[in-house]
Amino acid sequence: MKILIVDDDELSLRLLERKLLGWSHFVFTARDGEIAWEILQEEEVDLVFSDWNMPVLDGLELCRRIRRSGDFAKYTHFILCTGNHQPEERMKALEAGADDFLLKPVDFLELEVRLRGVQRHLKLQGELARQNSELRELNWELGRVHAAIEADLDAAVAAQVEMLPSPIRVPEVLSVDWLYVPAHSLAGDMFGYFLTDGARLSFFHLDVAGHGISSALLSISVMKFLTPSHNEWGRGVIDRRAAAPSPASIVEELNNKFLSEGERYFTICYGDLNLETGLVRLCQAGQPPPIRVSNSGVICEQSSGFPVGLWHPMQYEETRLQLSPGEQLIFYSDGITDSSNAEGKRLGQRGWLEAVKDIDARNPKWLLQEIQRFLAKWNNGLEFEDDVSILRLQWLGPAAATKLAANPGSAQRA
Amino acid sequence: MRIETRSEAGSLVVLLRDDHLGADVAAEFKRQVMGQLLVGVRVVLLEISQVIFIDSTGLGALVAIRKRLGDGGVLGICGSQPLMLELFQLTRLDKIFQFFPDIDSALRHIVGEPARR
Repeated sequence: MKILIVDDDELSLRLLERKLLGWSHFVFTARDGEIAWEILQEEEVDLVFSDWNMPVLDGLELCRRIRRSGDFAKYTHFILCTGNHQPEERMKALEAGADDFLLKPVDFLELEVRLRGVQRHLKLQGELARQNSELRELNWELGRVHAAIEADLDAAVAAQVEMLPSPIRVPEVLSVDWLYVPAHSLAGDMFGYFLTDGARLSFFHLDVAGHGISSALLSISVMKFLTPSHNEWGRGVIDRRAAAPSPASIVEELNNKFLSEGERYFTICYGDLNLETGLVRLCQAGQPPPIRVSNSGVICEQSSGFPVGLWHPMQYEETRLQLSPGEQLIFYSDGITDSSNAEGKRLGQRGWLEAVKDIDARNPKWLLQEIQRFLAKWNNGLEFEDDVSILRLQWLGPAAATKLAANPGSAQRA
Repeated sequence: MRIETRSEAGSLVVLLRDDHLGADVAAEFKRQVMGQLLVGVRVVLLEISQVIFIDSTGLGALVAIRKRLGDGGVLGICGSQPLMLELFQLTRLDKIFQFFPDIDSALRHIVGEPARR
């Protein structure tokens, strides 16, 4: 150890110095507190062994000064030495920040015991410092990895949003748009639509149980499976040129393909709209029933079905809806109906239907914009607990082949 | 997550004391119920009269328990509130679960008419 002895008595200073040197310590000496303080500015000392009564700056004051200075690079131990036996004196020394107290004349055996205590303390301190620095390194590494994951997630979110289809607006025929608010950056909600066999719009809206990366991956996998491919190697279940298969058969195929052992499942509504007749064929598999908005009012369609990927074999049913020109269908995720407002009140199926009725009664130009406004108000502008997505289809009237051909770009993202 | 379980007439009776079965508790719920399922038990009766909310993860846990019971098994949902019944109907899980007003009537049904083989 590096020990600084402070004593105005030359004889005891030298005696102690020789003893400590004999025990293989590195020793500095000072005649008063002020000289000791100067040495401490230059040297890193483990222990100060100081007499109490000294001229210029006494031991107590030296100790106070060291503690006030906030110590040096590492903790400086301080043992105060005095001939005074009074307990109050000891108290004073401890309050000044001394670690220990030794009576004069110094008993060397007792001194050795104290020094061993200090040494043990130093060893522990060294280990702690080493562990601290290791932790700091690990922490830094964690921060680095975390930042990399965050960046990857941001890229994945951007990729997922990129996969969402562009709105469709074919004047006098069709209008399709959507609202999409993922809860935890990556969403388990997904939807898509595309034109098949000339005069038919196929569409789907799905919600994978759970949130986050694994849900998002499954939702994307299902979407890929349902979307017709742009090249002949694609494995999509839909052939854009062929007559569209029944929605129920497509959902059954999904159930065969995505059957899981655990609880990795999804709810989906798959359907198509005949653009010439306005007939909608739907297969509902656990998604909430769609809302129909027409001139005569807003109603909830009756439809139900088993989720996909949970049970095998499973038969799925088809629902048919005949739309009149101008009528809209709204498909939505249960992230809306399950959401609660600031007072903890759940919106619920009925509350949601009432809200859409109120909004529609105001005859808005953009229904979805008004719905978005309503949801933000309902949720107090906070983040939703679950993914929120809405798909809106509006059939405006019988399609003439020329109208569709004139707008190929608006119907499908390249 | 608070559940109470007991064995009765060869069935496992589970009382769910929470008011919801959501993503936060579904895994623990499944683990505890599966942990109580002795070999050969084909009937689980689940009392959910206090439950007012079940999410997709909760439904998944129920289906997993139903699957564990095998082909002739019965998962009886007892005391379901009307809104929860609507949820089971919407998702057509009523195809694979049975529904009873309470545990006693479920037990009478099960004892009187043994689980189908």
